[in-house]
Amino acid sequence: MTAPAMTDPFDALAIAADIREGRRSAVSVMSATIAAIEVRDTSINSVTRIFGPRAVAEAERIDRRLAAGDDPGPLAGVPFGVKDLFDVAGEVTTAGSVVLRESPPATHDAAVVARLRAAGAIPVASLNMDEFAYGFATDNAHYGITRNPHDTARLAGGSSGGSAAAVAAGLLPLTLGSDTNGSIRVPASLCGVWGLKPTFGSVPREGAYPFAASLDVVGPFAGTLDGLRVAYEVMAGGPMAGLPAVADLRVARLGGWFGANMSDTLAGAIDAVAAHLGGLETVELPEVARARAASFLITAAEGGTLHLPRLRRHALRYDPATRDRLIAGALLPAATLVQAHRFRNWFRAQVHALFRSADVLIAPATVGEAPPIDQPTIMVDGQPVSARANLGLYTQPLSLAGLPILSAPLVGTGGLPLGLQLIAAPGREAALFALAGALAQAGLVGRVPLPASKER
Amino acid sequence: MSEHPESSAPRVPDAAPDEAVIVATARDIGLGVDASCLPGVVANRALLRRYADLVHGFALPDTCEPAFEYRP
Repeated sequence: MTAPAMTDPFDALAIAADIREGRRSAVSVMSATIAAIEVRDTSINSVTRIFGPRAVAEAERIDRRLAAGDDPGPLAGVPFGVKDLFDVAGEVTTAGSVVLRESPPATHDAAVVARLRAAGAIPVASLNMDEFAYGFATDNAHYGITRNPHDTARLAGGSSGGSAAAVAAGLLPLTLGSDTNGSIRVPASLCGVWGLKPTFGSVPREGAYPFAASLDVVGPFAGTLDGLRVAYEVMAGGPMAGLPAVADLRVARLGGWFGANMSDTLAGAIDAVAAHLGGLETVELPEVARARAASFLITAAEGGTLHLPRLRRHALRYDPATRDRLIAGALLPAATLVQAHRFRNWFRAQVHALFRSADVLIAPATVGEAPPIDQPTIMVDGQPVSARANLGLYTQPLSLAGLPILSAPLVGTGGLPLGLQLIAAPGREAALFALAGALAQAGLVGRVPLPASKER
Repeated sequence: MSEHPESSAPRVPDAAPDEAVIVATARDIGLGVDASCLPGVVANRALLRRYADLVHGFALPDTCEPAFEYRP
C-alpha cells in the first residue's frame, strides 16, 4: 500500500471509506491514532488509558476481513474512545474513580460498545470524566483535569469532558459519553463538537456504569454531523426513518429561563440562527427552575443511594467533592425524592403540550464560553457560582423530560466555542438531524476549528 | 400555646446544628460521617434543601403519580 494521504481526523465516515476502499489500512489508521494520542494528549489529558495492543490486533482483523472480501461494516476500522464508565471486555471500568480501580475486568463489552464493534469500529482508549460522572468540569482528583483544546487554560466541561476534548483535538473522530444532567451537551458546547443525548430509554445502557438511573442516557460525540448520525444509528440498533423536510418542521425558540443569563455573543449567534429560519416564535416552558431542582434532587438521591454501601466502607477514598455531594444526596428525605418524581410527571405533560405546536425547540447549551480553570465560575443572575455545579443551567431542566437533544456547535462566534441545543419530542431524533443538517449547510453550525497551530 | 404531656419529651430543636442532624440522619442509614466530610456535606445539604423547597413549594394534584417508571 502506498503512503496514504492524510484523512480528515475528525471525519469517522471518511476514515471508514478510506479503509473500506483500500486507500489506507486499518492498522495504519490505528497506529497513527495511538501515536497522536501519545504525543498530543499530554496538553489536554483527555485519555486515561490506551488499549494499544488489542486495538492494533483488532485493526489487523479488519484488514484481513477486507482482504478476504468481507464487509466489516459502516465504521470499518474507525478508532473510538469511551468515557471510562463503559465496559470494554478485558478492561477495568473505573468510572473515573480509584474506588473501582481494583474491580475485576469487564467480562463483556457494554451494549453500545458491542454494537459499534459489530459495525467495524475499534475501541482504542478510555477517556477522562468527573468521578462517577458527578460534575460539569472533568476536574478529577485521581486522573487530573481535562483541558479545553481551544484554550488549555480553560475547562473542557463535563462530566464527559475527555470524550468532547478528544474529538475537538482531532485525536478521535468518535467517542462515547453519558448524559444525566447535561454531561454530553455541556462539554460538546464548550469544546465545539457535535454531541447527542438520545431519547431516554432508546439506547441500551447495559454495561455503562450508572449514576442516576432515572435520568442516565448514553450517546455519541463526533467531529462531523454525519459521523454523529451513523454512530447514533448503530448505537440505537438501526437506522432512523427518513429525515423530515426542514421546510415542514415547526421550529421555536425557548425563552424565559433559557433566554436569561446567556452571554451577548451567544445571544447574537442564536439570533442569527433564528433569523435564518425566518424569525422564530419564542415559547416558554413553565416552572423550569423547579424542573432543574427536581433533576438535581433525583440525581443526588439516586447517586447517593447507589454509592451508599461503598461510602459506608471507604468514603475517604472518593474525591472529596464527589463524596460530600453523594453523602448529602443519600441523606435526602424520601418525601423530597417522591415529590421530585411526581413533579417530573407533571412537567412531562407540559413539555408534551409544547410539542403540539412545535417540532424542534432551540436553546443555548451553556451560558457562555468555557470558564478559566483557575477561576471556575459562571455568572448566574449577576452572581458568580460554581461552574462544576451550575454549567448545566440550561441542560438540567430538559433532562428531567427525557427528550432527545442534539448539541450543535455554533459557527462564527468569533472566540471560544458555544453550543446550541436542538430539542425534539421523544423519539424524534430525525427532526434534530434534519434541522442540524440545514443549519450546517447554511454555515451557522459546525465543528469549531482549533487555532491553526493546534491542528494535526 | 397549651402544654401537652408529650411536650416534655426530648425534641430536636428547630435550630439543631446542621452537623448534628447530618450525623444523626446518616446513622439511620448505617453511615458514619468522618469529621473531615462534614463541612462539605453541610454545604451540599444546604444546596439540596433550597432545591427541595422549590419542589415542595409546588402544589400537585393527589392524582399526580411519581414517575418511577418514566416514559418520555
